[in-house]
Order: sequence, then C-alpha cells, then structure tokens
Amino acid sequence: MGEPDDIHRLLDEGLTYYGLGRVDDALEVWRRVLLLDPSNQRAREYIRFVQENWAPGQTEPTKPYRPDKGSDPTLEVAAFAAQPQDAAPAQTSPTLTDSPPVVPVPPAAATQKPTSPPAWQTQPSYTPPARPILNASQWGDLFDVSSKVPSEPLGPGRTAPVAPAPPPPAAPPTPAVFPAPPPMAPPIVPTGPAFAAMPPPVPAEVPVVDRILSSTLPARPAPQKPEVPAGNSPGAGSVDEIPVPPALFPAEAPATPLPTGWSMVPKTEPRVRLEISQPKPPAPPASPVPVVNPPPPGIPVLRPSRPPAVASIPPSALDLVAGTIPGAAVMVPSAAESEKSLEQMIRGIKDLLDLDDFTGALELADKVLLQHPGEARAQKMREEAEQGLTSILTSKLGSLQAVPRVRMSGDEIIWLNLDHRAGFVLSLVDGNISYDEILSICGLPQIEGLRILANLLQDKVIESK
Amino acid sequence: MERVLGIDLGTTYSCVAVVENGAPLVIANKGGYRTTPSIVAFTAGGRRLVGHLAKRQAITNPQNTLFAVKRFIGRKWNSELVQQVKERMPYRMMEGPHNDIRVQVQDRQYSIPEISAIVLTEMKRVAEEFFKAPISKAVITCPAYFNDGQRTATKDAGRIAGLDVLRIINEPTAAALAYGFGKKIEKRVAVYDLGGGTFDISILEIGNGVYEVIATAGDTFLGGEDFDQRITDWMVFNFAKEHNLDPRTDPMALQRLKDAAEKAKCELSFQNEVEINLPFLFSTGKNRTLHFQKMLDRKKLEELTIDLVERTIDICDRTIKDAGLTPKDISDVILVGGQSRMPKVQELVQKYFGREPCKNVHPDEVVALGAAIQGFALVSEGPGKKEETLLLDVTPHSLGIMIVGGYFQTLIQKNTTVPTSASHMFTTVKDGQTSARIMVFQGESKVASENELLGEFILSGLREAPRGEVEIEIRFDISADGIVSVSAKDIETGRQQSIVVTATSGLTEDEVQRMAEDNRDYLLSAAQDEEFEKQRVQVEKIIEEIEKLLPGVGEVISASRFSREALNKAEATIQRARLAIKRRELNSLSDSREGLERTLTTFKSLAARKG
Repeated sequence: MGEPDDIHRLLDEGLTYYGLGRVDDALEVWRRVLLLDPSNQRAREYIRFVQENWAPGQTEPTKPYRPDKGSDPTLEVAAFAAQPQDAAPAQTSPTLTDSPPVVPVPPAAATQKPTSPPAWQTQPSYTPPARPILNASQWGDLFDVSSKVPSEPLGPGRTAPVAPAPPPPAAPPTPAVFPAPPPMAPPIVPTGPAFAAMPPPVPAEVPVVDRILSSTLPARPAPQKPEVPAGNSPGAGSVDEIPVPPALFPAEAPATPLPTGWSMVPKTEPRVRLEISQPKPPAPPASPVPVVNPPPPGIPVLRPSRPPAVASIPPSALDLVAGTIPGAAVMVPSAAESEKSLEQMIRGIKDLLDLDDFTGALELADKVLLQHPGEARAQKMREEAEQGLTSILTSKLGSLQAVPRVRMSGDEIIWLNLDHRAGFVLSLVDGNISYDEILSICGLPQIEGLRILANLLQDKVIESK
Repeated sequence: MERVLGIDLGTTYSCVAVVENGAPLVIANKGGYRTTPSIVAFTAGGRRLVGHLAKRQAITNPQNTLFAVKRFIGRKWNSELVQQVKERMPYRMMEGPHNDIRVQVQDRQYSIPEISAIVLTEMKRVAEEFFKAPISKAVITCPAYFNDGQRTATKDAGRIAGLDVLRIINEPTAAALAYGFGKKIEKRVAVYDLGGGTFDISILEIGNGVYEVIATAGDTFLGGEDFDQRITDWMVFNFAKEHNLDPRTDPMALQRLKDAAEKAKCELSFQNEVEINLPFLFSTGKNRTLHFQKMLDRKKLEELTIDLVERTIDICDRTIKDAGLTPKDISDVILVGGQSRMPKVQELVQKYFGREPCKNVHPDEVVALGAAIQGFALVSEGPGKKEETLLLDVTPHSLGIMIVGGYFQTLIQKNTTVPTSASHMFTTVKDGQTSARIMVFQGESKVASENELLGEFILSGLREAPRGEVEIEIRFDISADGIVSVSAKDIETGRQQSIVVTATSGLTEDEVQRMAEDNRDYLLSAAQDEEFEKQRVQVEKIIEEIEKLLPGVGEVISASRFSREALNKAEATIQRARLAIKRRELNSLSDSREGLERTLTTFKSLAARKG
C-alpha cells in the first residue's frame, strides 16, 4: 500500500501539472494515487472534475467547478500556499471564474518545435505508461496515446509536451555502426485536447521537477522566495535559483494527517530542516537519474519500504512539501490497517473494472496478490481484467490465426522506438508464422506479447498478410 | 501401391520423402522448409511445438525444449556418454525404470523414444497433409554405428508415432541409395556426412545393386551447431568490445544471436559477405536499447571454424586407413548434411580425396530420398522387385562373449557385413564344472564389462570332467535384419542352449503401447482444438456481420410480418454461439453456426429489401 506521504506528494504533483495546463499528466498522476489508495476522495474528485469539464480543444474547464467537499484542482495550489493545510480549501477558494486564466499559451510556444531527444537517443522502456482512467467509450485509445505520431503537424494550439522523464542527452547508442539519424519524424506526443494549452517545451536535460518549477505561472500570486538554505537539492540546480511559486514552498511543512493505524515517531527537527541540514552527498556518478540522499545518521528509515512513486523525479521541493524525504519518520501499519487497505484495493480493482480500465485493474490486482498471495477475489478480478485486456488487444490484431509480416525495411526499423522485447518479438515475424504462434514462442506473458504485437501493428511496423 | 515414407530422423533436422510416380520426392512442411528441426518444446500453456517454432524459442524456454535427443535414444542411463552429457543439457534428464533415460518437462516425464516419436509424428503429418491421405508405413534411417538397442528404440519411436516401421537403415546406405538411384554403378564411395550435431564418414561398396558398408566412424559431438557457436561467440565478442556488455545474459538476445549466426552461416555458403543486423537487441537497463550490426565475410567464418573442418578430415583419414584403403581408392565422395555445403568443407574434402565431391545429390535431402527409395523397393510388387536393391550393412561394433578373467573374446569383428555367422570353441575352467554362463557383449574394449551387455544364458547339463576337457562351441548368427542369435553347444553330448538377443529400447511393450495411445489422444485433442479455432473464427465473423445488419434489419422487421420474436431468436442464437466459444464446446459451436448462417442469410435479404 502506498503511504500517505506518497499520496500527498502525488496529489500535489498532479495539481502542479494541472496548473501548467498538462491535464493528461495530472490525470495520470492522480490515477496513480488511486492505485495506491483507491478510496482517495481528492484524487477521485480531481479526476472526475477534469473528465467532466475539459472538452476537446479547450484550454480551461467548461464551467466553474464547485466541488462538494474537495476543491478545484487549479485553485488548490494557491489555497495551499495561503492557508494552513487543515483548512478546508473549498470554503475559502474563489471559483475559477474569479481567477485569471490558468496557463495562457505564450504565442511563441504555439509554434515552437519540441525539443525532446529523438527516439533513437532515448529509447525509453516499451512498457506503456500508466494511463488516466478512461470511460468505457475511450478504451480504444488505451494503448495509442503515448506512441502515436500525430497525423497533423504541430501548429498553433498544439504544442508538444515535455518528455516525461528524459535522461540527459545521450550519444547515439552505436555511433560507429549506424549512420547519423535522418531528419526525425514529428516526435512522439500524446494527443488530445488537454495539450492544446501546453507551456513551451524546455530543454530536455533539465530534470522534470526543475522544469516544472521553472515554468512561470502567470496566474499565480507573485513568488515569494522561501527560507531555504542553499545546497538542499541533490538534483541539478539549486532551489534558490528557481522562481518558485509560494504555494509550493511553505515556510513550514504542512501538518499531514496520518491514516488510522499509523503512528509517527516524533522527530526532533522540522522536516524541511532534515533534508536541508544534510551534508551534500558525494558527487553522483554520471547517471541520468540523480541519487536520492541517504537518510541522515540516527534517523530511522521509513517502513514499509516505499517504491518510488515517480522514478525519475529526484527528491526536491515537492518532496519537502509532501514530507517524503527518507528518514523523516517511522510509520508501521497495523494489522487492521493492512486489512483495511486490502479491502480498499479490492474495491479499487472493482472500480477500475467497472471503468473498463483493465490495465489499471490488472496492475492493482497484481499488487494485491503480491501482498496477499492467493487472495481469491483479487485472483478472480485479475482474470477478468486479463480477459478483458486480451480481448481488446486481440481485436486490435484481428485474428490470431493471421500471419503478420514486416512492413518496414531494416533501415526504417532501426529508427523506431522499441525496446529489446519488442525487438525480439519483431524478429519472430517472418511472414510464415501466425500471431498465435508468435505468442507461443516469444516467451513473454500473453498480455505482454499481445500488447507488443498490437503496438507494432498500430505503428505500421508489421501488417497482417 | 501404398506409399512408404522415407524419414531421415536427424539429430538436429529431419526430412521426409516419398517415391511418387517412380521418382523420389521431398515433402516441404507448412512453412515451405524441406527439413524440419528435430526439436520438441512444451509451452507454459501446455502447447506442444515441433520444428521451427520449437527451435525459435529454444533459448528463451530452455528447460522445456528438447533437442538432440537422438544422442540418447536407446542408451542406458549409466552409460558413459549419458553421464558426461546430461549436465550440459538445459533440460532435466533422469533415470527411467529400466535403466533408460527420461526427461522431465513441466509435470511429466517422457522417454526418449516418445520425444523422437513427436518429431516422427510431425513428419508423418507433413506428408499426410501434402497427399491429403493417411500414410502409415515408413523406413527410418539411423547412423551406421547405432547398436541394436538404439535401432530398436528408433523403431519404437516410429510405433509410438503410429508408423509401421518396415526397416531401419543406415544413413550412409540411404545416401548411397539415392546417389545410385536409376544408375548402374559399381564403385567404392565415401559418404561424408556433416550434419547439425554429428559427423559420420562411411565407405561403401556399390555393385550389382548391392550396397555394402565396409567401414564407418564419426564424432557424435561435431556438427553444424559448433560452427554456429563460433559465429555466435564472434558476435558476442564484438558486441562486448563495443558496449562492454555481454548480450548472452539476456535469453532473448542470445536466441536472436544464435538464429542470426545460423542464417549468416548458410548465406555465406553462397555469398562472400553478409550483414548481420539485429536492431534493439539488448537493453542496457538504463533506458537504452542497443543494436548489433556487423559484416561477416566468408574468410572470417573460415578462420573461425577451420579447426572443426580439419577434425572431420582427420577422422576420414583414420577411417580409410582402418579399412586398409587410401583416399585414391575412393571413386566418389557423397556429401551429406547441411554443413557440407560450406565451401571450405568442400575444398578440404576435395583436397583430401583428390577429387571433386559429387554434386548431384542434395546434402540435406539425400538420406530421406534414399530411405524413400528403400521403402518403395520393399512394397513394390512383382517378381524380383524386392531384390532389385539389396542392402548389405555391417556390424558397427564387435560382438563376443566374456571369458575367464573378465576378458572379452571377439567372435565377430566390427564392420563385418551382415548377414554373417561365426563360431569358436571354448572349454570349462573348473574341474567338475556342469554349467557355463554365456554372457554376450558388444564393443571394442578388451575388458568385457566395459562393453555393452546384450544378453546372457546358462548352458547346463555339461558332463562332469576335469577342467579343459569339455568343449563348448559358441556360435553367433546375425540376420539381415540385424537380429543376433547366440548358441552354445556341448560338443560331446550335443546339448544346446541358445538365445536370440532381442535388443531393448529401454521400454516394455506395454509402455510402448501406452505411449502410442497417449500420442493418438493428443493428436485427436489437437485436431479438435484446431477445428474449434477454425469454427470460432468463422462464427465470430458471422456474428460480426449479423450485428452490423441488426439495426437496419430491426426497422424492416418492425414493418413486416417478422415479429420482434424473430429478432430475439437471432439474438439468442448469437448468445448460444458466444457461450459455446466461452466453454470451448465444438459440437455446440457447430450447431450454432448453422443457425447463425441462416440468420445471416435472412438478414442480408432483409437489408437488401430495405435498400
């Protein structure tokens, strides 16, 4: 189960994305919150609000939003700065119509070319990213969002987003062997209305969080520099140098209510101070992912160990706010809490299944089964999700008895954005064996094999004979 | 006339041929390949894969992929070779109930003949699909050095596969048969067989339709796979040099490297250089996927593998010398096995024998063609037909008995042409000895226990006499079918005991029958699955069409004599079909299909009426 700190951090991260107009990213992050805590009301409210109020081509919601008990995601960022955490933001927040536009698109940004590194340089993992929760009618796009090359050129109102977590620009993998890349096709960009109001892209080498922070928020109150000593962040750049909206840097970390069943070991220093006062870690090796600071001596480590919610984001300002710095506190879930979390997750799987979000349901079911092996309900729902997903992917392929063949030449294939598993599956496509046979011999779980084949077919790398 | 399959059951590849309209014909499999890998695999989903499909997942599913089982067929678990090799095999081998070998795959144990039977079943299926008729008779080939146990095990494999095995013949003999088919030749030829996993050299005398193997030898661990391995190693080395990473750590990458190595090797038999291009081969784990792209030329390949080729020439030299011949005594050299297509191999063979190898036979197919020719001869009707081709094989090993001191007394030397017989006189070794144990062995060691025990019996009722007085005649007879009979006769009393050495494959008759039944059951089930899938695809297509027509037809129906009930009936038929698909019920699906077809026809006519 995800920890409250993670959830807070992710909620805030989603708000930040939302504030930047990156609605899809925000949805994705909030959806991740639901994976960690399926009953999280805030995440549900935000997702519901976005899904109900963002129409294609719009840069802001269709109507002012007055949540029942949550708050407008956009305004919560501001409210967060202005008020103590425990105050109810909805009661004091102005409506959207009272606020300036969220993120206007700068004219220059509308025509600016994306600066994401070309696919052959980054070669991100083939695993499709987590998707926002979609309605049943939207499942057709479940697998094409991230890998689709836009059919129309980028123009005003359609700006490429920043790559999710680009590593520092790397040399081509095999410079000695392969020729210099030809002019690249339009980069891989998500499609959808939410991207109409994107901020201009920023250089890819800037870490994600810093990029987020360096984006100006014109609608926000004037930034106030927080009292943060230099050298706090192990990532690139110092927080001091970044214009930071005050909402993200309260002088004191907000009091985060602990869930029932959790206890916190009293800490001796304010949480913000904990990280700031750490000695700077030794120079990290040349790795695109900054190293997380080790916990300071004497401070116990968080338990249970928490998987990194966003692997490529270094602990930074948002972590300080959310209090997710390792070593800040010890929290041990009780048995009752564990049982409760199981029930929540089971409910979450069911919700996701109801939404036809089979991928999400499968992930969550796997998570439950990892923690509770043999859990009958999770097992059953997992099968259901797998069946649903298999059905979707199979329908994309047409008939499994069909025989695929490679459509592209070797020279074209090499410029694709595939991982080694997709490369392996592609190597099995010889024009003689069927999809079914490929699935039998590829050695991958069937879902994974189907997903890869469906993507190859969709990207027109292969075709059915 | 009934067709007879000629099957070359190879260590790495198998091939099937039939004589049709008087001419031998190789039958290609579904993928268009004329040879099929002798590899069997079992997927996690319980599916059985044979041939190319099994080969292409061999590295990624190593525990459940069975290859080169021919090396173990008919061998005893405690034999030296098995003990040496078992640890090197990725699949799990264990001792069977009769000191035979079993392999564990998932939750089931298979005997070696069962695995070979799966390959033979596939070859049978290939031929049956081609002729669209059942074929049950076959001639199967085996290496010339196979002993009786190995031959019997091969025959058992054929029986398990549902084949009536008319004859097991030696591979070089089959190759020579194909070579001499339709010709009147009298020659001494060498059959140089460099296959995927083994190398064999045999010398044959051909004359007046008689094919006689006069010498044979080989190396059971030298073949095309060793050549592939050299190329794979070269690729790995180059990849590691460039990226400082070992691609063999990823089974998928290793599988691709091996496949590419074999492909490059084959291409280099016809061209001077090839490009090996493996995009997205290996993940660094840091969001990067690396490619492999390199040129390999023939010269480099020869440099990598020259020692392997030279080893085959050394074996040829030893064998020819053992037969009391010189290379000049060989009139022609027949190349067999895919690896013999390598230009360097042909060059060295030509250099050694002083003549260009025969090029009018296909190295991959010649053995199967020869087997088909032999099968055709065996079932041909008419006077003298069967005698047209007389195969004379040799005993691959020496045969004899154990004598006092545990030594081995040879009665029939290896490479003796069969049928043959030999006898030798022995005496008792103890005073008053009234019985003698006769232990029959096969092998070349002077110590009997180091050879293979074929059988034993006791000759009793000997006259009580001082040692050395009672004379016993031991006689060995080997029939044309390779059946060995041993008799012991007390010369004085005429009392006689004998045994027929029945080679055992390591399986009892009951086991063979049960395995054959299991194989039949599997085939039946697989055929049903296949039929179900066919029906499912068709039914789903019909349902799709009906559902497309439904909205429009609904309007027509409401305005016609058709009632809402008719529409409900159509929907119920669809539901029934879907249920049958879900439950995988073939009969129910077939029934539903008929109803759906009627519905579709009706709907189409209604839709046409509408507009």
